[in-house]
This record gives sequence, C-alpha cells and structure tokens, in this order.
Amino acid sequence: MRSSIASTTLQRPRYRTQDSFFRGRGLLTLLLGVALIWSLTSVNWTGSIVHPGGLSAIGEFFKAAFTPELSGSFLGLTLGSAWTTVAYAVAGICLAVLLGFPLGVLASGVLAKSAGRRVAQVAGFRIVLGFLRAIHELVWAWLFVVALGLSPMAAILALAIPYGGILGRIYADILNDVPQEPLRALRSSGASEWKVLLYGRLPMALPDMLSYSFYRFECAIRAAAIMGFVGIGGLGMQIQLSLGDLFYNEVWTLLYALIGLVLLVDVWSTWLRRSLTQ
Amino acid sequence: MLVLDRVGKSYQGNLALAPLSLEVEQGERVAVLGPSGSGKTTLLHLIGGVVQPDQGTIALEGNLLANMSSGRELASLVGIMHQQLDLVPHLAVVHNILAGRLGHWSLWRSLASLVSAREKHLAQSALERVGIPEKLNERTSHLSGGEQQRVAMARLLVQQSKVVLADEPIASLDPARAEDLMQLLTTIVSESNKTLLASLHSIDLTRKFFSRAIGLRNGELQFDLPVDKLTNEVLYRLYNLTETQV
Repeated sequence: MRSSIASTTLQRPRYRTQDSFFRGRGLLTLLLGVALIWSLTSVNWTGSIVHPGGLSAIGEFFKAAFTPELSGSFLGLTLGSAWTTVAYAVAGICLAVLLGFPLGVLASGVLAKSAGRRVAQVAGFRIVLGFLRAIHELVWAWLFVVALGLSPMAAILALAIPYGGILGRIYADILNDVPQEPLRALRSSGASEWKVLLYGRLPMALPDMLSYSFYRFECAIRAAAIMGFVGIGGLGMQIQLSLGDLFYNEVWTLLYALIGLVLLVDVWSTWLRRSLTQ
Repeated sequence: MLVLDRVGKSYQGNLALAPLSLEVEQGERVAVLGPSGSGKTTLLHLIGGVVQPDQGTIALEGNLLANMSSGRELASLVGIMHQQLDLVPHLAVVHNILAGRLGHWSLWRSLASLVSAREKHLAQSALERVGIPEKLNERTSHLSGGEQQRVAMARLLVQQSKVVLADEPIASLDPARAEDLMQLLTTIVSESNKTLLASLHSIDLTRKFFSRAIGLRNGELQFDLPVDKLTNEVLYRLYNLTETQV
C-alpha cells in the first residue's frame, strides 16, 4: 500500500513535466533556439560589422568624455543653450498640463451623468488623447517648423501636443483608480460628482499626478534638446553642430549639461513629492 | 420614521438580503447583528441609498427613497459611516468634516472652502463634541484609527441627518476605545433624538448601548428583539457554525 503511493507520487511529476514541455513554453523555447542558431548562418562572417575606421572613431568619441571643452566662451554658449532648452521644456510641459488636465478629467468619465454618456465620453476623449500622442514630438516639431518657421513657438507646441495627450491619458487613469470608499462617503453626504472630484478624487490623485508630470518634465527636457536637431536652437542644435565638425570635446560638454539638467529635475521632483505626500 | 417593505438584494445571482420588512421609530437605537457575510452591510447600504434594492421599497419619513431626486435630500435624512477608509487621507481634518456640508453648498462655495474653510465654526464645534478639538488643521492621514472614526462622526454631526447608519464603526479599535467610541456615538445620537442603526460584533456593547437588536444570517432576518430579550440561546443560534459552513 505504502509503496504504491510512493511510486505514484514519484511518477506523476515526471509525466507532467514531459507533457507540458512539448505543449507549453518548453516547445516554444526549443523552436526559438533552433531559429536563433539557424539565423547565425545568414550572417556574413567574413566582412566586418563595424565599418573600417568606425572602431577608432568610437574610441575617440569616448576618450573625449574625459576632456570636455571647458573654455569660457564655450561654457557660456553651453549655458545659454541649456537655458533655451529648459525654457522650451518648461513652456511645453505647462501647456501640456493645461491641455492634459481637462482632457484627462473628461476622458476619465467621472463627471458623466449616466452610464451611457460615460461610455461615449470616455471613448470619445480617449480617441482624442490617442491621436495627440500617437505622433511623436519630433514629427510635430518638423510640421510646426514648416508652418511657423524656426520660432520657439514651434518647439513649444511640438512638445505640448503629444505630452498633453500622454498626461491626459495618465491623469484619467489615476483619477479612475483612487480608492472608492471615501468617494462613496462623500456621495452619501450629498455631494455631486463635481464635488466628489474636488473633495475626493483630486486630493487623492494629486501626488501621483504631480509625480508623473515631473517625470514627463524630465522627458520634455530631453525632447527639447533633441528638437534642436531640426534647427530650433538649444542644446540639441549645438550637439549637432559640434558632431558635424567632429568636435567631440564640445559634444561632451553639452551632454554633461543635459545630464546635469535631468538630475536637477529629478532632485527637485523627489523633494516636492516628499513634501506633498507627508 | 424608517419603513422597509419586503426589501431584497442580490449581487450577480448571489442572495445578499432576502426580502425583509422592518419598521424603526425615531430615536430608536438598533444594533444589526450577525456573522460576517450575513447581509449587515447590504442592509445599511440599502437604507443609506448607496445601493438600490432589487425589490421592495424603503421609506424615510414617508418619502420613498427611490423617488428622491437629489443627493441633498437623501443626505439630510440619512448619514453613513463605515469601518474605516472613508475619509480622504490627503485633506486636512477640517475639510473632511465640512464634506458633511457639501449637500448644502453650491459648487463654488465648495471650491472656495478648500482654499479658505467656510463655516469653520461648525467644524470646530463638531470636533470639540467628539473630543479632539486640537486636530482641526491636521492632515487626516496623520490621525490614528480611533481619531479618524471621531472625525467621521464629526462629519455626520455637521451633515445633521435624521438617521445615522454605522457599518461596524468599532471593528478596528481595541476594546477600551471601542466602548468609548460607542458611548460617544450613542450619546450624540440620543441628544438630538436621531435614529441609529449600527452593525457590530460585540454583544456586550449591544446590550449596553442599544434599545433593539436584529439578527441577520445568510441574508435572512433571524430575530428582531428588544435587547433585554437577547438571550444566549438566540445568539448561539445566530452565530453557530453549521456543518456545511465548517
């Protein structure tokens, strides 16, 4: 009796693993492994992956990291460009918040009067938000440069539109995800959905909304820098110019400025979030 | 005052409350007893208008709950407090208390009050009444569980509803604080001759602070008795685990 129990418990797992290996993930892993090995035969092993001279260029580029350009005039230029980039990012993210907040509230559907209207409202505004953020800021920048010329407005609008879409979407989700019990209590003391939004949803959602907005501000600084590549000015434009001239030392000075900016925003947002959640 | 006529409720086919009729007079203090999952919360939520019944009618002072158009009208009749989690932790205590006035305030007044509190004296005196006057401007999340229940009570005070519903108001408190809070709740309620329905698990506190007790089990009304008729045998039958439930 005892031995038969032992033997069945011993055997059963072995059958099960064999069974599931060929039916489930095991089989897929095997197939992918074979595909990987097979794909290696199509690589041209006789030529080189990096073009001739490429390796030494990479070497030079990283060597320059230790000797950034530190002359007074270039530092001045870096500072000026960094200021332009920050200005674009701040203006862009402010407009994005102004755009994203009302759209987010509408797309969350929390103010809808009936279930039917809520579905229509949520679907409608989510499509709007989806459209805004489906197109990358660099594409918007290119479009606005064509339409408005090389003006700061082009950079700011190019940032505000997709970022407004992203923020709106996240705001809507955060507003929907707050704990329901306090909202129920507010409703039972006679509050309308508008008042529930003011006294319940917004206070509870604000720390998360703020923290995500700051994260987006960080992204906006990077994006504003990149936008320089289309000629609007700021760190990105200087990076492109220095890269074109192969002045890697200057590129690194500009990159360090960019890294410094992002770190600064990170420190600021951490401090602000802490003071808000306490 | 409060009349339930064959009120029943199911959630996705699961019976939460079998059709039940009940009459409560003004000033009565009714304890709702029963094991977990017996329908106590459902009953209180139905009376508070938090959920709608599948069948039957609920009338408050002769007005059908189903016919009340505005939250304001309902809020002046019924106020509800829960076990926990029903304050907004990020707001200052004063705003959580004044939330009890939202049914009376316009939207603009509500918004302005978040900037600079309106009718602050109401909040202050309510907070004094529940014994923690010094907490008015503190962030609600900094308060202990017992203090938060007092704030919830203060909110009910400024809401000035005629019926007070309390869903396990003392479940998360230690015995001494639980008795304190029950004392406070029943004192406040009887001073203004309000009607109280509260669910709880303590038989001692039921006997001490309530005038009447109803027992629910598996969504069905088991008994409806004055507390002095609450014998151990009745209670044993209410809480006793049957074979199938073990």
